[in-house]
Amino acid sequence: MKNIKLIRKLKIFSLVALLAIPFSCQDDFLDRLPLGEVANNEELGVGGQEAAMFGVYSLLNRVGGWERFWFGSIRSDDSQKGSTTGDGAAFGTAFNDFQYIPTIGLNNIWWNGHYEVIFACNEVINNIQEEGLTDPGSLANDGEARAIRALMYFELRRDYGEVPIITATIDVPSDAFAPKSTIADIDTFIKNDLLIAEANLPQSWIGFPGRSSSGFAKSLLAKLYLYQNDWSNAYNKCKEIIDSQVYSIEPNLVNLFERVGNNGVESIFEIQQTVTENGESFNTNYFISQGVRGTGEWNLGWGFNVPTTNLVNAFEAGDKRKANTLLESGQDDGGFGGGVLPAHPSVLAQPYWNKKAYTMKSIRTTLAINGNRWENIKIIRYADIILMAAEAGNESGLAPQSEVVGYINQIRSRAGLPNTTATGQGEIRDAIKQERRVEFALEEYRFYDLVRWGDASTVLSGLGYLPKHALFPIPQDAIDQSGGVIVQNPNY
Amino acid sequence: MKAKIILLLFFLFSVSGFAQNLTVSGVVTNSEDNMPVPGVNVIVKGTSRGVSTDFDGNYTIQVNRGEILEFSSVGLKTVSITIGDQKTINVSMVTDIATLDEVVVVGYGTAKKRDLTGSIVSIKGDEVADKPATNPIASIQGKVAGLSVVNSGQVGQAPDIRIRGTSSRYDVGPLFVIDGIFADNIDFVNPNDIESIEVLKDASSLAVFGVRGANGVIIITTKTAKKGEFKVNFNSSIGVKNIVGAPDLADATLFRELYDEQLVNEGAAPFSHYDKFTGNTNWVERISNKSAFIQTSNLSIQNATEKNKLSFGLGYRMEEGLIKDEELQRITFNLNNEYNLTDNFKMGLTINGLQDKLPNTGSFSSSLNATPIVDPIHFDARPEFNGLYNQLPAQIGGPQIGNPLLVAEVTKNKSIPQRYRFVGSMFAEIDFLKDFNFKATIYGDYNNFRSRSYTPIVPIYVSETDEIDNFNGNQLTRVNQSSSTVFNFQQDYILSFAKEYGKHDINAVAGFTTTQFASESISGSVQHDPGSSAGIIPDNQRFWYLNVFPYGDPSTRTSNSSQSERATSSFLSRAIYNYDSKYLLNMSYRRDATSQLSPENRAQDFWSIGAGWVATQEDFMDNIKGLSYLKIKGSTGVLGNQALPGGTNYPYYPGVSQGATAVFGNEVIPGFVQKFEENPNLQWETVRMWETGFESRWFANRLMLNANYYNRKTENLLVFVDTGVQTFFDNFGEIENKGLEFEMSWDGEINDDFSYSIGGNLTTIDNKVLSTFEDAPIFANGTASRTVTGQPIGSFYGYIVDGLYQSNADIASLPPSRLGAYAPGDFKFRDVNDDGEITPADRTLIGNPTPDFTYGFYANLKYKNVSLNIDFQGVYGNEIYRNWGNGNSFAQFNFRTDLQDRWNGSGSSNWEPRLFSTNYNRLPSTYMIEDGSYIRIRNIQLNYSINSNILEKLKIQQLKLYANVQNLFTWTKASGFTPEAGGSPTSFGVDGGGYPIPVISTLGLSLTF
Repeated sequence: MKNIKLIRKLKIFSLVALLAIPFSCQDDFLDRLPLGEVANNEELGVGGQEAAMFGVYSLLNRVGGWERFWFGSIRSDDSQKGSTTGDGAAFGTAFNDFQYIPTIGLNNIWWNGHYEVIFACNEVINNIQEEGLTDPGSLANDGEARAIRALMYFELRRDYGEVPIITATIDVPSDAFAPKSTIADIDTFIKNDLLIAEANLPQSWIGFPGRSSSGFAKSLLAKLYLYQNDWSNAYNKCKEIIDSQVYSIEPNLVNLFERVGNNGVESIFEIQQTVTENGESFNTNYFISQGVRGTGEWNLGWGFNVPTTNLVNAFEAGDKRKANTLLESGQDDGGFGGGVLPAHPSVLAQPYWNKKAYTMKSIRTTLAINGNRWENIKIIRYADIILMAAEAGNESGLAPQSEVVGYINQIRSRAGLPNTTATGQGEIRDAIKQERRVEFALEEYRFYDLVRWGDASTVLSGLGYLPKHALFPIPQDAIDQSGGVIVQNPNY
Repeated sequence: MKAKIILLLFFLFSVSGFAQNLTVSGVVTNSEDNMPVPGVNVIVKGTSRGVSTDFDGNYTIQVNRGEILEFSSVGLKTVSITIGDQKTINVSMVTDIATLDEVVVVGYGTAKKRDLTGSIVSIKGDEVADKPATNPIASIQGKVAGLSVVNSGQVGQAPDIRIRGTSSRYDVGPLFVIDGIFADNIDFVNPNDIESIEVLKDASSLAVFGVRGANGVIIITTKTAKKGEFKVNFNSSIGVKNIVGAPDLADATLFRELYDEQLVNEGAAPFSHYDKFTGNTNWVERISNKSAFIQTSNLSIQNATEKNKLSFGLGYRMEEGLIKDEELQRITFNLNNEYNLTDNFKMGLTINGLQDKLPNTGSFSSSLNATPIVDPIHFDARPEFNGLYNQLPAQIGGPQIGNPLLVAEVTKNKSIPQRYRFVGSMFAEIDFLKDFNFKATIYGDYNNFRSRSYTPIVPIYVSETDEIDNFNGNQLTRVNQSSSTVFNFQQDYILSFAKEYGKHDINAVAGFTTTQFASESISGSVQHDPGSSAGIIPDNQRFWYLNVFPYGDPSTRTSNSSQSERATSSFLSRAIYNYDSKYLLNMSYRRDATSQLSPENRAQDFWSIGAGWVATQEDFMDNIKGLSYLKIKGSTGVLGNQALPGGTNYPYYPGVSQGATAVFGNEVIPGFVQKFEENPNLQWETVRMWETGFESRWFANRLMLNANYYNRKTENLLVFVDTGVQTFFDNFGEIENKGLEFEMSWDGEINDDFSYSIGGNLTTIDNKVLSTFEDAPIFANGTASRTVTGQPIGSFYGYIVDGLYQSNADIASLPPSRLGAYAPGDFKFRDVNDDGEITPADRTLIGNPTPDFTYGFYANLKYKNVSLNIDFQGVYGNEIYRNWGNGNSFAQFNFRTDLQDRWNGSGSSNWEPRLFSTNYNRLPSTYMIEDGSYIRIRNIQLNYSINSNILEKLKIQQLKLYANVQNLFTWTKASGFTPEAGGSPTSFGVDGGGYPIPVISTLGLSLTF
């Protein structure tokens, strides 16, 4: 009898115990916010759009990959694919030999990367507008978002010509599609962004080296004017930057393309790369893909974007830039501490490599990393402003010849060269072209300059260049996704 | 009660002591047609004495008065007759509807199969227990109509399972319900512990699972002890696996010939290092594990008394993979105990445990790509160089393809992955008010995966420069350590009601259930300090920890975590009703609410209704000859699918991307990049399904014939739109799957000793995307899978190859191509849209990865205590996209042997293109499309049960020996390792060349005490 009672008690007790487990009809059982991260609709500790703006900077890596030199450098007469024969052959034919294909992967990444940054900028700009923020911090955020957005549109316009202008915050997919705008409209749009940015941005940021500044906005505007052949505006803008005396020419050429030169005196805007103390890398493949393709201690990268013989021969005798641009197989690395490179062709596949991507041996040893993950990617440097001032001054006639020649000589003297002997607008024009060619060799200048000067058809004809190749075809996916709202560039 | 049983036993025993003094004979006939029935077992109950009827249904047997004669035969109701004085006993046997009274497990309870209006296939646990697969579902490939199983040969890799087609972009796998608990996989279930597997396929069976039901449900019921039973079973098997069907690749001679020709075609200098690379290596053979070994052992004990049912199992499994040093070791245990406290109240608990030493898995793909001219190992007179692995030539894949043998033997194995999983439940159940039952159950699932790994510095020999380099250029040793745990907590409260009122029979359940899911993982790494005198972290498992002193450099230590949780709460109900076992009606309703959607839209309703008519219960059907049973049925309903792309836990709460980091100089500052745009209107996708069909039995139940038509339309497809620029969740698009299912079987008996059964099933699948967002990017070199309106999901998209350009004149006469540079010997792509040029607009549907139909058939023969089972399985009408052996535009790969017939001059070939390393011929095209149809001898199994007389002396109930060969032969046209290529819902049937399906030969024994 006792037993039965016990069992009854046990039975009731256990049933109750089971049912006592939180019977979760109430709604808060289903309220589960993300753990360990803020959700988008939550207030952030950091004010305004600051954190979102940092997000924009982090996205710059999307446009800081090797696409940059495939588009900007390999298409020129001074640079070629590099690496071993078969490596990247498809990209080689597309970019080196002007057999553009709208479906090539690099094209998608380049296009999408730019719009991704643009949309992130839109979000910041529109939020500031919608919330009516007018504090200096928010205005500066607005300015930097506009400057970076302008850079994106400028690069898109330079590579594709007419592209859609999207200013909306993207809420539904269709927000991201619009028909192409004319070049004139795009330029007006870029100019408007840059004028606002110029007004809102500080000259520099304390504690944030390399952050978008008013000087960057002005420089980009000067460059836009130059691409429009609006010589007087270009000249005036360059003059304004020069007169502000914020920037100067880095006296030591070696430092310019080394870690110590990151955010140096000549830097106007760079995509930031770093290896932190605990060995974490924040970098793209931009420099690694240009490192020497060897084995062992000469396995520095993938070996793309290498000089052509054309470029090797383009340097005047005594030009210090030659040794800082060309890294020669079978020769000593010239004071960088790495010793003699293996020979070409018995070991290395290329006779020359891009020395601007090369690094000091001591840094490699300290970090125990071979590939260059620590050098910033130069977007605009002060030397460009000086040479743009020279070109615009010369073309517009606004600058006396002495001033123009002075600019050229400023660049030449750093390279250890005597003053130029050019006189008269035509000769000076040629001198400027030559100076830009060697100063910015293997950076993303030459192809765009040739197109801008109208020289591409002559200089590049041997490589298969036709006038239509000034513009790249728009990625097939972008056209497909827009449902045909975006139309392909002519002749593709 | 116990006393009565003992008394009865005693009585029977004592009776059998009398002499056998009576001869009884007679004829056995079938009541339906009065025809004699051969092969009926006639046994004296409680003894081993028995005979069987001859061809004319006659029998003769010696018996005693008072004994009971039992007449039994497949498909007929057993008849028992107590012997009196009569010497002739003629028996008329009736068709056994009882076999159709089979009870099947449905969600939240059981039901009589005959009462159901849906499609449920039930498989006995025995069918999977003696098969070599780790995953029980892999073993039932080809055995269930509507269930598609695409296996992988990789150890521990779950098969790609889809029920009735592909209905979602993200999640097509069925829900597994193991003894009540919901799970996405059944890793922890030992095939030997399974009592039955039920595959639920239609709305009527699935609606009770609501938002988890749309992809079908596989219910696994594990063994419990049967009343009055005490049983100990031990079984063990050993097996070997062998690779078959390795792809044909160039050997060194052919490689050199082809590569030289390619360099000539490209105008490049000849390869100058052949003198240093003189090997002839078959990499697939070098890295494979010949005769990979499998071993399993299981012990189970079942004991049931009046009050208590206990079941206990222990399992061990060791399985090697097909690549060197892949090995899985698994230990499982389970405990299942049920206790009746009173007549109407019982409680129980189950515990399942699993410990896995997981394999370090590899892939064959790099061994398909690596050039054969390299010897894997370098031999040298200089001791410091001797025995090092060789690096591939810098110009022929060196930087991109690591020496496959080095990867297989060294780097792959520097990790120790392990898993621990515990799944348990506890219930209390009470019967009350005569017809009611209430059951409360709580379940818990703890799944921990942990790993320690090490990045070594491996010296490798570089032939070109005669020097030693570090593999992968790695200069730093590093240790990674991680642990991730998933907790799952579920509670069910189910009220059931069952009653018969006259001819009305109703069986209803209503319940409430919640789930809580949480996941937490932490990981970290540390590397050595190249500047420190401590040196590298040793290559010794003892040191593979984050705090490794003095080797680890604390300033390089990183730590990370990721975590998420979600919850659901649901109300469910179901009624199963029949009138006079003639008219059937099933209805279900479930409402699911989730934490993952916006609070306004978090609940959704799901339902189904099904009806059936058992025609053979009608009087007017009686005179249809041969028809024993016929049910005509149909069902319809709306079900849900919580389909999310992998890694998404909070579709309504876009977080900020981890690792969005702004760099300013040396400062690293976290940035804020929204992962995607939030969508408050987002809902789970719904699948509207209906089916109709019949179940029938003929000729005294010997013939079974079932057929169904099914139609499943997924609406409001959940889509993660990635434009390449912005990302969104949205409901957009529809997919339809429809088809027919047929099942047939025949059980026959030649005589008492010899019986057989044959059967098969066939399923047609017609998949079509009715509307959707266009798919995300297609890269020139990527795979060709696309999901676009009007075509089957995951269709292959590309160009049609109309042969090769033979000459420049040929090129000039055809529409110009805008796809890149091309020359004679390259593909002639077809101008599909007839616009006079070849552009991306000429890409079109070039293949469908979904078969037109899948099928399986079997034959079982049984002679005395030997039985032989053979089953076949196959698919028909699908295409495979060959994604290996196509070369690569960065690395020089090995060539397929087919390329010895390449184009190298006008007229030399019209299919295998010239050797050239640009991408023109690598654009997805019909050149990569292969016929995916295949038929395979899935299993041949021979069983032998040792004669019971011998065993009785040894106190053994049963001893069974068996030998099985799985995948003995496959008829296929595919050129890769195997025609089976699973994948994701939107990209499958793509053969990456990764892993073969082996032939597995097993020997086993099963011993029951």
